Amino acid sequence: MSLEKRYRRLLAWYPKRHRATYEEEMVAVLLAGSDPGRRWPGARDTFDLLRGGLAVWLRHAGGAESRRHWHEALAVAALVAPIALLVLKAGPVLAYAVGFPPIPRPVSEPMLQTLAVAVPYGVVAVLARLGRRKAAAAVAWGWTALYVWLVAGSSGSGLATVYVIRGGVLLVTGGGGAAVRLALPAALLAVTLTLAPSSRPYGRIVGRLAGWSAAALAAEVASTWIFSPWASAVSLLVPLAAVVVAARSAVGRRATVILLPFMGVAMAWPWWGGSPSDDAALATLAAVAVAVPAVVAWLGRTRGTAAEPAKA
Amino acid sequence: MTMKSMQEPTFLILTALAAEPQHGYGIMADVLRMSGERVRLRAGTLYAALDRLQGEGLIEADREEVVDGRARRYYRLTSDGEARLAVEAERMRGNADTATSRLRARPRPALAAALGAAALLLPGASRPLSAGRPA
Repeated sequence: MSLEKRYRRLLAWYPKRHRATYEEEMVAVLLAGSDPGRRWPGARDTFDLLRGGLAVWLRHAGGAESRRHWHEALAVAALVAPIALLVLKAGPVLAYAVGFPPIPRPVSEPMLQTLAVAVPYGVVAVLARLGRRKAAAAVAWGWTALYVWLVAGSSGSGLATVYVIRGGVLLVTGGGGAAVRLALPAALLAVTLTLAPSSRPYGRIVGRLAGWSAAALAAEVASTWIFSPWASAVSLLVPLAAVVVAARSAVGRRATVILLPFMGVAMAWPWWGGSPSDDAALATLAAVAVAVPAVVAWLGRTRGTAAEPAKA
Repeated sequence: MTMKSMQEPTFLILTALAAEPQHGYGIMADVLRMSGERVRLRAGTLYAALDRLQGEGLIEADREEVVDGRARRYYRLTSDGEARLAVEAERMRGNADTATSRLRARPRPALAAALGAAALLLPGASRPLSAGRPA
């Protein structure tokens, strides 16, 4: 490999926009400054390039363009989050209904109950799509409180039994511990919506969400037809593919960062048991899922003097 | 509002562009020469600074030319950059003047003692000046 290629490899660490403007010039300067016959970048130049790259990354992260990207990503996350919870609730019901063997099953109370639990997420998603962020947050908070009351009060005024359908299997639960775990994703959704901007996310991203949601539902159904220990991984393929596609855009990468801890909490139960270490891990993940949108809301702030370009 | 003082590499980059536009490698060589070979800018530091200074509106791209098949971009100082450099130079001149006048105002005995100590350290100086008699 030539010296030029090695310099370019070091420059790959710089932000794309910076490379587009300066890469050719930097390579020319680096080559002009290196001794004849040299094949490897010097230690000082290497260190200087890495340090310079870090400085540029940090400056861009606080720059106006990056701020717009974080702002947009939080708006996208506030729309993806309720859709994800809707798919996570409705998907297993659909899979259960058309499960293997594919014999039509009668609509049962557990199915209706689980579908009813999914409805508020659909309402929140529609409100977020319309840019009614405050109304969406209010519905999410209201639903969180109602959900906790319904599950925790299962012996008295609430639901007699709480059903959870996962992987084509019906689980029965109830009580205070289950209330916290079941309502936690709804509470995190409410937090994300409270912190999110009121602006509507990109039309382009919104248009693709319907396709991804349908694919996620189809994968959920397909996973119950596969008899393999890896069957549950099939339903993970769609979110993973969505992450790969999202990684190609600045807004997509940021939205993925915001949604990762949230999705971790939403998809954790009931695969995680109720052991103290599981609870501690869930609590940590939930704390991260609150902290990330809070930091992003600060990064993506559009008002105040800090949003203006620095004037020396 | 008080203005933050400028880092030396930034000051030298703006100074290098004060008289005429220069390309990246030219700025590096000029800064090395102006600083008496004390400040050696490398590509990572230089282009992080050029990117920042362009963002702050203190410099801008002037023209591009291709030399030996490689792009070479010239940068020039903007009017904002010119004003900022003038303010910084004035601030440094003020500090230097203050330091010089304070040194001049220093009491003589201390200066004499310092000179005496310096004389003792000089090779060939065998006796303290204060004890010496005119030869």
